Amino acid sequence: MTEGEIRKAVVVDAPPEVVFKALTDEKELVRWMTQEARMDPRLGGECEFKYHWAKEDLRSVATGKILELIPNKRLSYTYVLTRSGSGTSGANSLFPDVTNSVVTWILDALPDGKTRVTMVHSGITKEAYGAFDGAWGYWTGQLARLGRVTAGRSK
Amino acid sequence: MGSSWKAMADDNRRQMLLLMKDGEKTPTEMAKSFEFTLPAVSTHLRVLKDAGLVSERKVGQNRFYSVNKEKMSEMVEFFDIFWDDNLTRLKEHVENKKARGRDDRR
Repeated sequence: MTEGEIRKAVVVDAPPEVVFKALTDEKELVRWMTQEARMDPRLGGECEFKYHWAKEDLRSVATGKILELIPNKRLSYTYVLTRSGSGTSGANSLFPDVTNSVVTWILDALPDGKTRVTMVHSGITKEAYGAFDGAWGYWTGQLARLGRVTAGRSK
Repeated sequence: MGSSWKAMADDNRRQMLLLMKDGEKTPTEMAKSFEFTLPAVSTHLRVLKDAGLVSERKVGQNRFYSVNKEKMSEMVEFFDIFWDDNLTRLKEHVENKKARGRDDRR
């Protein structure tokens, strides 16, 4: 692994068109990626993902510009993560700031209508981290969200 | 060393980590909080320890467990888990959509 680079892959039982739509359609992005999403799916278009973490007053916003867009094959955007909300000040913040990084999604069509989805997050440098106290905020948020999802389903 | 992602992929172990975040805990204290048996707690603790996520301190007969902050504070670790989780949700989302098929198209 290159330092400051994360590479992940997963095989999805759906064709690339379906995955690409999930990556670029605002209505779909909020179903799996984040709570609020804006996406202008064209070269140079802007995107924004708002993450609501554990507490109401703690949020992160990722903003970016689309660097590459090849329908059903490849999507790449800059990814600048900034904390927002009143609970984010102080050196003990649980959430990372990233001043400059790039997220790339690569879709490879596989036999039987499946797709290999590869995600590369590059440019995560130590300098860009700032004060950061671990993945706790993230997991706390996930737990809170899981609770909400479960509650929603039981209706 | 075990995978920290795998260690954290379990809901019970995440809850245990959250509990230890507030300070050192003994297995007995954790078993009480979760209504787990001691052996179950010990198994989870072993997975967490193997992944380097928790540290163990022995005082006489007692063992105290705490979160290994150094490990947890690695930024790349954050994104590692973050993206694993994102990819899992993406997979679930598109596959569920496919399973629902045409009913979903309004």
